[in-house]
Amino acid sequence: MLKHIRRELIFNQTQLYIFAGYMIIFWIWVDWQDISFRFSLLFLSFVLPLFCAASIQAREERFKAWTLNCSLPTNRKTLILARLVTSWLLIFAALVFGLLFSALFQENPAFLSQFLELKSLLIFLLLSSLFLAFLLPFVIRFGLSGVIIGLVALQILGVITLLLTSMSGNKENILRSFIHSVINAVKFLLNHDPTPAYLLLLLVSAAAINAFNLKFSQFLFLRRDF
Amino acid sequence: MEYTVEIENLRKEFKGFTLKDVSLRIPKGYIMGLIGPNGAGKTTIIKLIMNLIRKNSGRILVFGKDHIRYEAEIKSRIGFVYDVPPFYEDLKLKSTASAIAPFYPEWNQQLFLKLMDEFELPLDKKLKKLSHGMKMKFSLCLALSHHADLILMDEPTSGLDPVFRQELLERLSHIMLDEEKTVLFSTHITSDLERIADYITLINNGKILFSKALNDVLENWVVIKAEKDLLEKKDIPGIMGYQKTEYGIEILTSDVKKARTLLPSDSITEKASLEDIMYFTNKGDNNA
Repeated sequence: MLKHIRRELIFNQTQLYIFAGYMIIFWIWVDWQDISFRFSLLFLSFVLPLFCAASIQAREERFKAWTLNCSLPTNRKTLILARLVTSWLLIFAALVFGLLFSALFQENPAFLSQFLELKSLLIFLLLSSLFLAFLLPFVIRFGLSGVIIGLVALQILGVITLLLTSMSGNKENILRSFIHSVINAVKFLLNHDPTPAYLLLLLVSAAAINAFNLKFSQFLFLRRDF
Repeated sequence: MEYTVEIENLRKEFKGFTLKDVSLRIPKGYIMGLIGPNGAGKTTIIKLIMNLIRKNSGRILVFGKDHIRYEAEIKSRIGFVYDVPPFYEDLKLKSTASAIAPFYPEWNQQLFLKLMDEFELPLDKKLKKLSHGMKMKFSLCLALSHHADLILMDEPTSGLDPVFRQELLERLSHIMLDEEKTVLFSTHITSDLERIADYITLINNGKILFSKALNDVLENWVVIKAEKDLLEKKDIPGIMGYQKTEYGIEILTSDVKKARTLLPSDSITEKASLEDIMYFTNKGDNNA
């Protein structure tokens, strides 16, 4: 597995430099603007998987380098496992870097202690797993163009929903309800008492989501022709 | 005879193209040339061997083992050179090689550096700064640096200048001195193969027309030039294709001995080149 992780890191080194620069700017912004812990946690839960799954996979597509990767002495299942493991390594590296950065420069001591709570870390793990489990299979199946089309489709859906809402005069709509549901779910996760059963549930859920992500992504990757 | 690659009834269906139940065997220690026009199915066969695309049916054995079940083991003994070098263009050559090398147990860093030097490839240059020819050289350099037993080359000479083409062919001939190595070389530049191939497989429209020793082909295949109505008068054996010209008819036959006995005295027979064979079987007025 080490040679695979090494390969991923070397092949994506340009992207890693960009990512590192982006993370530095993000943590400077968080620390200097006194951005809330909750926002930072949610933001990172979505941005880090987005970088790891979409960006690395998109780079492979851009250079058509899947031909190279799939021609190496390995199999496709291992390639996907390596991508998932590398993604998590990068996610945790970015998180550790950010927390170290905050330890040095954050003026609000509560920020770091809240982030380092086991519950916060497990919620971060769960949300990142969820987003990664959506992104990785999606990018494998539909590629970079699929991501772009998906984002454009979401924008159009949003605009249409807003237009319909303003025309009907009704403040409630499906999109708003969905967003509220997500916010309420995250609030529930964050506000729940950190009982051992709850923490275990978070951990098991994250592990199950990752196991599903791995199997489903491998299934999709095995079916692709290059 | 021992075979490095054995393909049986291989079928792959695409929209608008089907590789039709291909069977092919590549003997160990020889160069097999895979010829055919663009879109004939040459790249599809190579991609199927490498498991880059999924077969619909059929069987592929490489080194006597199933190419999917023993994928990693088999690929560690294969060197590949594709028509479009599939590298991350913004990486330096040395970075690319350092990421790939650990995958090959037989990787020889000394040999790699020697080849890079011989091919005049700059280790510190990014791939996007290299010409197509230099990228092909780099591909070849990687393929040769891990002592591959099977080298798969898909149109390796297309887009290369004559000097490097010559160099590549000489290097392949040199590699073949080691009788353990096998090469599958797909191309539509047939003159390259006439110089180095031991066996030739002609594929057209997803179907293998023949797979024979090159000497057999060059000795027995002829183009007969005769009067226009020759085809109606005589039943020429082994007709693989013909074309009508302003002056008469040209027929490609795979059986020169029988054909000669049946031909009128004023007809001319010329040895068929691989290019003639490809032309007549593909673009002739009536290919067989």
